[in-house]
Amino acid sequence: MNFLGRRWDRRLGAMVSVLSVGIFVGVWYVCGRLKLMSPLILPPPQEIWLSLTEILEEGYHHISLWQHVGISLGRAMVAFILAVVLGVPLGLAMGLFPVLSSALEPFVQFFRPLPKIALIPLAILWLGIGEVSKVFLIFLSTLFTVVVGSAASVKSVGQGKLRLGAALGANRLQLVWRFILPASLPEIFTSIRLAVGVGWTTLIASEMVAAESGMGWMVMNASSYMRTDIVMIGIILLGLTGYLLDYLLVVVERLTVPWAGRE
Amino acid sequence: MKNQEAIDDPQKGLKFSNEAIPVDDGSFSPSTKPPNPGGGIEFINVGHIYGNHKRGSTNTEAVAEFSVSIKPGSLVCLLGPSGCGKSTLLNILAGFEKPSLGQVLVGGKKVSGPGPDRGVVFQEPNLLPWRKVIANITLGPDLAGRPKKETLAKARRFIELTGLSGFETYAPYELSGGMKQRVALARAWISEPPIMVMDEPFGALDAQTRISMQELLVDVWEKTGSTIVFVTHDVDEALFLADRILVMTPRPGRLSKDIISPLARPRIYESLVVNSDYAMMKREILLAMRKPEYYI
Repeated sequence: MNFLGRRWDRRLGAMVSVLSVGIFVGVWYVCGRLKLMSPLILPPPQEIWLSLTEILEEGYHHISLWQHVGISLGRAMVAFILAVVLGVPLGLAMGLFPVLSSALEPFVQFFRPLPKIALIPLAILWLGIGEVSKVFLIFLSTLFTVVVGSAASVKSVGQGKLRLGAALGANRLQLVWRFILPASLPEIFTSIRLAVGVGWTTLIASEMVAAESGMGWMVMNASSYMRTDIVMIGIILLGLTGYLLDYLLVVVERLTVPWAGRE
Repeated sequence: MKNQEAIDDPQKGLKFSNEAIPVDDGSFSPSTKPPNPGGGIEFINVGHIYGNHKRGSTNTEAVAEFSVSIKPGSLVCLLGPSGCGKSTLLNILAGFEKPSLGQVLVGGKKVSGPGPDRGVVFQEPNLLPWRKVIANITLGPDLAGRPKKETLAKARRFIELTGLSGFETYAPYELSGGMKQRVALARAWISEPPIMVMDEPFGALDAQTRISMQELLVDVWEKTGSTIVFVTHDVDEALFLADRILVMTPRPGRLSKDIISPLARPRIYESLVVNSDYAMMKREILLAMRKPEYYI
C-alpha cells in the first residue's frame, strides 16, 4: 500500500522501470540516427556499442576492460572493508561513550563534508603515488559516513529496549551485545550503503593520482584523446558497478536483518 | 446459566444486578494459588519531582505523599487520568527511576534499581525482532545463564498459559498486536517473579482483544500467584481485573481513593455490566478521578 491507498504490484513496478530505461535509450538512438547531435559531444548508443565490442576484444591501453573494472573494484573494496571494520566499532564506541564522542566529534564533522579531492596532494606527499594513496582517499570518504551513522544508530535504540534489558537483569556487556548492537544493525546497514555510495564517487578522484588503470582513470584518459565514446562506456560501467554494489548490500542486509523496517 | 438469562432479559437483569455478587459456581477457590512470600510491596511516603533545578520554576511535582501497602498475591490497579503520576510510580517500583522522596520496599527490601524479582510488561510489547517468539520468551533465563532444558520446560508452560502454542517459531513482526503482548506477558512471567509490574499493557489493543487479554491475565495470575501492579486509565479494565483499586488525582499524583473490590471471581464481563456493585464502584471512581471543578 502506498500513501494513495492503492496496491502497487512489484512485477508491474519492475516492468515500468525496464520500460522507462528502454524509452530513454530508444530516444537517444533515434536522435543519433537523425544526426541531431555531434557524436563527439554525445555519441549515440549504436556507436558506444561498437566501441564497447572493440575494447572488449582489444582492451584499453593494453589492459582488458575487465581488468580495468577489477582493479577499480579491488581498490574500492579494500577501502570499503577497512572503513567498515574500523568505522562501525568506532561509531558504536562513540555512541556508547559520550567522552569519546565529544573527543572525536570535531574531527569527524570536519572531515566528513570535506571534498576528498582536496586531500590528493597530502595523500601523495604522505603515501606516495602507489595503490596505498588511492585506497586511502576512498577509505577516508567512506569512513566518516560509517562512523556518524553507527554512532547515531546507538542513540536511536529505544528506551523501551534498554529498560527491558535492565528489568530482565542484563549486565552492561549483555545490554550492549544482546540489545544495543542487534537493534542498531539496520541503521548501520543503511549508513554503510550511504557510505559505499559516497566512496564510489571518490573513485575517479583517487584514480587521478598517477594511475595507469581502472575505470576512473580510463574516463579521464579517454577524455584527453576526445574519445567521448569510451568516456561514455566508462561512465556506464561506473554507474552499473555502483548499482550492483548497492544491490549486493541490500541482499546482505535482507539476509542479516530481515526485520528491518518491519518492527 | 443464571447470568445468561440476566443479560437476555433486561428486567431480570436489573433485578439480578441488585443481588450482591455475580455467579460463583465454586470452581474457583483462592487457596489454590501458590504462596508468594516475596510479593509484598510498600510505598512509603513516595514523592517525585521532575525538572531542571537550575531553572527553578519549571519543576513538576508528579507524585506526592504516596503511601500504600500491597499484600502478596493481590492484583492491584493504579487508576487515574493521564498525567496523574501513575506511570512514574510504576517506574519507581520497577527501579527505572529513583523517587525524590520516600522509598519503595519489595519483599521487605528497598528498591534500588531494576531486578529480576519484578517482571515488567510495557505498553509497547518491546519484542526483540531478531529473536523468534520462543527466544523472546526465554530472554530472561538466557541472560541469567539458566540451563537450556529447564528454560524450555518453563517456556512450554507459559506458551500454553498465554495461548501461544503453535507460534513458537514465528518472528515478532508476523504477529498481531494482541499476540505480541502475549509474548511480552510470557517473557516477563517465565522467571516467575514474585511481582509483575504492568504499564497499560493492553492500552494499544482494540476493545475485543483487550477483553480477552484481561481474561488471560487473570487466568495466568490465578495459576502463578504473582502480585500484580497494573496501571491503567480505563475504569472498566480496573474494575474487571482488580482486587483493589487505587484511584489517583492529577498533578501532583495523590491517592484519592483506595477501594477493595467486592466483586467475586470468576468475573464475567457480560454479567459485570449489570451488576449494581460494579455500577456503584464505577460511579465512585469516576467522581474521585475527575477534578471537582469538572462536575460542579
